[in-house]
Amino acid sequence: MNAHTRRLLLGIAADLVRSLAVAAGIVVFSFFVLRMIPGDVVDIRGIEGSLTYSQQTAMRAELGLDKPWITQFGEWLTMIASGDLGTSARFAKPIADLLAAVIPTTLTLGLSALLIGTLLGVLLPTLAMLWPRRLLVALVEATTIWSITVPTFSIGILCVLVLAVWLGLIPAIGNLVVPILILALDTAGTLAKILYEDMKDIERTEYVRAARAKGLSRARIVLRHILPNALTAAVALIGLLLAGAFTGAITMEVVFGLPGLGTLTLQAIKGRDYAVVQAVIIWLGFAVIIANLVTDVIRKIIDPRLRSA
Amino acid sequence: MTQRPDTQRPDTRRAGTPAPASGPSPREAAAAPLLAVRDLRVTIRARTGTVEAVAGVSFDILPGRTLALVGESGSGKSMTAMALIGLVPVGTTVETAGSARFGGRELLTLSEAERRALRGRAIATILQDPAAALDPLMSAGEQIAEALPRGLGRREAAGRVAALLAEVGLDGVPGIARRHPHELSGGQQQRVAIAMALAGNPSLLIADEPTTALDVTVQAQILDLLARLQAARGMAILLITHDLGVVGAYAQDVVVMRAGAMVEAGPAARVLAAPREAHTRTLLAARPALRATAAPSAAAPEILAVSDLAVRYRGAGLLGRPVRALDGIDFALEAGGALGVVGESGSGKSTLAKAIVGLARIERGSVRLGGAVLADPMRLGRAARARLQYIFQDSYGALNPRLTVEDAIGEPFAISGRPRAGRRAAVLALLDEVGLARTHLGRLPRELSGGQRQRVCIARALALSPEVLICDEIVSALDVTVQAQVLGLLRRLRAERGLALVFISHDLAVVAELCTRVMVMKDGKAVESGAAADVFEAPRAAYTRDLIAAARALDAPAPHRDLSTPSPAAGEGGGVEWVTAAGF
Repeated sequence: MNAHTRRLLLGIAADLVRSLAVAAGIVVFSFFVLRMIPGDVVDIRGIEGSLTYSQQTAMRAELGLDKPWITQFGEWLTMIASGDLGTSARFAKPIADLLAAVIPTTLTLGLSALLIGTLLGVLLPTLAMLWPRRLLVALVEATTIWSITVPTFSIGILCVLVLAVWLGLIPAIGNLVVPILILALDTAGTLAKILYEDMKDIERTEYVRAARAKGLSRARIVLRHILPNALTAAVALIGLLLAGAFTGAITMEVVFGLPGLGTLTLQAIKGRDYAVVQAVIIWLGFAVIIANLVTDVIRKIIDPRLRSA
Repeated sequence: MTQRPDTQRPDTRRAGTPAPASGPSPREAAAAPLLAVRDLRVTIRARTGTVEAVAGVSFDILPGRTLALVGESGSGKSMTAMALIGLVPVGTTVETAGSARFGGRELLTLSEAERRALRGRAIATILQDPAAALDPLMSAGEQIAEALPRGLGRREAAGRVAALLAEVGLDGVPGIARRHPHELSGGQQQRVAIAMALAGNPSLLIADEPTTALDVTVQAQILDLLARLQAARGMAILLITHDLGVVGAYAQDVVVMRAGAMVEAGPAARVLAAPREAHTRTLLAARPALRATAAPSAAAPEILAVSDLAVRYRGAGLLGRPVRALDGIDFALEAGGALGVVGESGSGKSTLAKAIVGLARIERGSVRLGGAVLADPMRLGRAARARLQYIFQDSYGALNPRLTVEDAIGEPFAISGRPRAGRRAAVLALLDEVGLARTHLGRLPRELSGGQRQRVCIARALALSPEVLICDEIVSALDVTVQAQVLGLLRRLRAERGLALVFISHDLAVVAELCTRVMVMKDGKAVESGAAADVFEAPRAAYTRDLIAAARALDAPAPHRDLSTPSPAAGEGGGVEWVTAAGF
């Protein structure tokens, strides 16, 4: 193992410890913040009119909601430590089953959209740099403006209306392809904008001038010098988007009637289904840690300066 | 780029004009020049109009010789070279006119593809700042390999890279080919850049201020390396520089430029020894000689002193080892005196200045201002801060781009709570003191020249009547003539205000001219300190002697190597055909 690799691994280990500590902090914090929202799951069901007062008291005792928060936290922690996520108070199902039911949809939607969006978002500005003619530059700008100005939920509703209701080309509920494309275009626009601006700045640097002085071809200058340097910043953004992909796109799930993590989270918060929300937060913690880790590793592989820290 | 035929303004072309007195005979000039530039004009086309950056420049470069293009910033010296090979900055549109024949081919009418084929092969370029000119993500070896001719096998290419690294003297650095730019020193980076330039086996090397960004001892090494490579490979060098000292030692011929036009041209020895034009004389005179001129006055009371000062920076990252940046520094400075702190980059000069004003945490030792120990410079009160002012190297970065000159200079008054009335009068008095006019009041930093901006920074530092001024490389970004003016201003301020200076510089000549005391620093320690005259005339430490020798070598007014006055029998050695632009 050479010095580079050792430093790379050391850096990754340090990052991992740091992000685990942050994740643990968030889990603790959210446990208590959640309980500060007025009303618990029993109140909500009471408002919905399905429980009598004595039933409510009995249910609270059963769920342990009448105990002090700190005791609840201790019990919850013991349960989590044993690998059990708990049971949903609202759906009366194990939370692991609930998550297992929604996560595949969320990941398919998020990761496909991110993959397509990243490919487009890197390809478009690179092509525009290689052939700086009007059409390609205009295409980069059009994608950008699209992603900034057109909210995904409005174009989503329009798609459902036109493609499903009027033309009957897709089912109104449960279609994955259209929301993937909508999200991908959104990602591509944001990424293309940042990457293109960076690439134009990098084109003005001395090392690109030095590359020109070496007589390198335009293609080589763009692909070997400008693109990698621009990617160091863009990868950080892709990392953020990756974390987002794990958490689910609520609007798309709602508009296209997809049973995803976003929808589940929304229902859990509305119903004060504490255990479900906490489980989702743990999942998010892991998602963000994984996304950060992947991003950091990629950035350190691209940029040798980050390895020496 | 549009081209005008080279018959444009034929009156300015006097091809065949005999060379000036001390030059070689016209017959020898018949030796074919490698590059013959005639009445080159470069017009920059901007949205706001056109600017003639180069207005009629003519010169010849013979194979194996060095021609220096000399001038201050904005004189068009870089543009002249870059326009020839199509390396103008991205986004700049230039039109060229005149003629530039390289080995019998007209450069100005080439297409971009044809120029690209020349770049890096027949004509290579080294840029000013090696740290910026290397791609931070690519190893040194990869960057050199990239410049090699296409179609070499992997093994063949690696062999050539190793040979090039050896040629530039980097073969002793372990794993050099696999190192990235940030793992190299400035000198090593420039050597890699030179290896990159040599990869295509060029017959002409354009060196655009190749040593300006480097330390003085490294400068001499790089210039010597270029001279050695030139002798070994017989390549011609077009050396672009603002430094006439460098010209004397390393170039045979020189063209002096000002505002895009040629001022004077001829053999370097002649131009330096007997300049014909006033501008050349100004450039030569503005260059301070390395001679101590001022003596410390014993009578003045001590104003600033530090004893046993040490600063430690915590290392980078979680597990980084702390770095000792300053260790056991002592000095005492009298009122009205000037302490020059010299040393190469990384020697701790700036850390010292920062520790004194509380921009770096002091680990050990103390700072005394006017006899009283400052408890913690990081928590100085406003009144004490006013007595101690700091001026930075980068005058542009030190001024808020949205504040006018009046607001910038008036800001200290506002901070110290001086009433608004009378503030303008005070600002005007300061402007007058630093040699700026009332008309500058409403200007923004970007509307000022570098020298004017540094004057604004000085005026701002003077606003609260400090007793000590800390000047951190404040003239190193300025042209020599402007540098001389700012040094004159500092000398006057010392005399008139009794101001004490801590003057940090890598330039020994500047320190010798201004300072009464000198401290030489290396690796965070003071190698030598004492009265300027003693240190410069009789240096005790070996390191001081090295620094002075390097500075003297670069500053030589006459050539070191007798290449510019070849014997008549040598024939081809000395032939340069001098073409003088009209109007001179």
